[in-house]
Amino acid sequence: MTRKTFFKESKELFRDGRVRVAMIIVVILMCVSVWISARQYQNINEQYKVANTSERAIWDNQGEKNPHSAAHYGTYAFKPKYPLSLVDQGVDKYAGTSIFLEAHKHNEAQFSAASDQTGLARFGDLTPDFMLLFMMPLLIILLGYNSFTKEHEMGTLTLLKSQGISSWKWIAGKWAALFLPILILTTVLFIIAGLILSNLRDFGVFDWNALLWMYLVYTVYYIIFVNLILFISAKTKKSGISLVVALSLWILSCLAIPKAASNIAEDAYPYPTRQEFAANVLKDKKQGLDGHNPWSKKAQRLKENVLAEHGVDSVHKLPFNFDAYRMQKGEEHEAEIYFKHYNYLKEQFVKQSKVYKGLAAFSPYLPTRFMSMAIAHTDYATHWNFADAAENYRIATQKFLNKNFEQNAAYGDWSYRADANFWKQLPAFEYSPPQLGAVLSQNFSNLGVLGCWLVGSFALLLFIKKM
Amino acid sequence: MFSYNFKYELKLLLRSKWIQLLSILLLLLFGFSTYNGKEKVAKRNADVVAAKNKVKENDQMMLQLLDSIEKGMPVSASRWTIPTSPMALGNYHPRIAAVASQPMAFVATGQADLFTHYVKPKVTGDDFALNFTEMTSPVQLLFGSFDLAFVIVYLLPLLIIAFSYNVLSSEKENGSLRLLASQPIGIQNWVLQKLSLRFFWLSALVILSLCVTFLIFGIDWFSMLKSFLLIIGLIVSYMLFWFSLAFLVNLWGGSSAKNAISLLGLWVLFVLLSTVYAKSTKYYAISNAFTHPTN
Repeated sequence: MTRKTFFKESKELFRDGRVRVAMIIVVILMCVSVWISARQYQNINEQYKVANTSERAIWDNQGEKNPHSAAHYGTYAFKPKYPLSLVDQGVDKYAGTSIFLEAHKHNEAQFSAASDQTGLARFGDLTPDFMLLFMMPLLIILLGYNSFTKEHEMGTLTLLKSQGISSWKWIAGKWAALFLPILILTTVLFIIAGLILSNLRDFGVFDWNALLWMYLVYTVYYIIFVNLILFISAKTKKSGISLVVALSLWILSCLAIPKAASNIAEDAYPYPTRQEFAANVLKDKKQGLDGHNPWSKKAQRLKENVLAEHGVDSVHKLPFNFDAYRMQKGEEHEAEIYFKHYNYLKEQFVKQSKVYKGLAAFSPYLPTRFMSMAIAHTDYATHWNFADAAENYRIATQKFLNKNFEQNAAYGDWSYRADANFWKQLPAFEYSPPQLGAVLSQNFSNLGVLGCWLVGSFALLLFIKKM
Repeated sequence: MFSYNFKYELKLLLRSKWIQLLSILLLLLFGFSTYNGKEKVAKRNADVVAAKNKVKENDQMMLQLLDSIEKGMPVSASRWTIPTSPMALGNYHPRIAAVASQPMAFVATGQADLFTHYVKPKVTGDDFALNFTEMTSPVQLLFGSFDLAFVIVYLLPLLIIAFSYNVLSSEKENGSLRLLASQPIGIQNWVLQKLSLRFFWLSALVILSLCVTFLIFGIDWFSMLKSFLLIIGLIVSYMLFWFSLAFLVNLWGGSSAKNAISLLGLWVLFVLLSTVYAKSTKYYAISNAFTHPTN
């Protein structure tokens, strides 16, 4: 009986002109979005490569120079783009793409794409994630809003009752008929995405497992929507009302709640402004050791300690350049200050995340969005991870430069120049994002919320009766 | 005929609780979004005021320092920070350059959550045009803000669609179309009258709820009457656009559900997809163009 219901429903859907048109439109939009994203991905990857090599060339060929001058001259760390960003662009548009690495300063990533665009950038983008997160649920609504109501309206309910079909078999048939087209569409899309990604030149860290997990997340998201739409259709009397209720649900969970969540999270746990942040850092820096200021109290104390440790009475007698040593100590101290202040931002964000997770109880969109971004390496956590890696590289670079100064120059000899070939010895900045396993365990709570939605929405189906 | 239409349409809307439902919904949506917009603007203003106060405090300390120097007393500051030199003053005691928020800023967040609202220009330092973004979590920017503009641009058309998709088709479906056809009025004319009336009532409700919301949140719209009227004009024109679409779909369309789906497709097209435009942003080129200082 389940099978019969399934075939009848599928046939009906297939014969419905509206459904066919909607399916065709969705497929076309999907293809266009994948094509645009793939082109953009290649384009950005080329830009990344050019920027990376030219920046390294600038660093390598800076000629004879004092190491500390080179430290101020600085270099850049560029944030790479990952293959799965083709499926979900996540926060990439809003996060900075490059970090300037220089002495004494832990800079934030700057030059986000959104800051170069107009306010229109906030509206929909034709990207696969937009199609997957917004349009597919809409398609589910379109296919399923009248699944039960039409039995009322066409008077076929009486016929059905006479068939002696059990309630759950009937529901299972309808469920399968609604879910199958969605499943086929999603599967085909992900297979196409996988094929495109594995055929792109230098596809780097792309792995099919991550794509499979993403596919699972989206499938669960659609199952939740299928269940909710069927529930609504069963509980309303008229198709029109069922459609309106289903649409309200879509607007609430995909548009309104995420925006409201963003407002609530910001109200409760705001970030400091850029100027406040800089002022706070400066205040802490003033109290500590300044590598450039040999007359400060902290610098004097450091000098006394070092002299006592080596048993000499003057910095000239030390086996290394004390200026460079002091600068390295100052650098370490400043790095700690920055660590503290950036950590505060991270803590604020962790608290904001809790607001999002709390509100995810009303919107299956939120956990899906966060999971999808995390797997695609386009989420905020990956951005932090990249920023931390760049900061570690900056600290290592400063150490590398100060060490050279410390060992090769006499105390007070600021005219010392390092050899032109010296810069090449600095290892290049390499960054690889967290592995899939780590990402999944970090996002365990999001997976949990999604699981609750899945179980909860199936539980709702139990309340459907044949009337 | 028009007077009959007017009278019965109002009765219908009141009895089907449409007017009551819409008023509550509009008040809730406008209220929440106005609150959010006001909070954002308030934070922005408070940030600027706090920064200005900080400058005032620093100026007091600077004046004390100058006073001690004038009197020949020893000071503990490093010699290059002493504000008797104009360069030290320009570098260590910067002023605030702030963008003041406009009275209507709460209506739309726009790009305001992306950019910084005040800077402290110093004698030396980078060009502020290079980086003027504010410190925010990108997740915040991704989801955007639930502001009045969102309610008007995204949600209001959906309310209009829900309010008007079945004006003609429901008559068909309820079988009352035949009765109507016996009346001395063309069907186009009748749909036009009916939708005009709904447009009139919804506009009235929107303007009223907007006024009430502004009153509750203490927004002095009377003193900025011009921009207020401009916004009302904008909203009403936008609503008129959607009602015209609804009119066409009603005339052309078939069943209620079919109409709703067509209108919804138009909503997706106009609100979500029409803003998609080809853009290739040079991400990394910018930082490369930022030439390195030569020692």
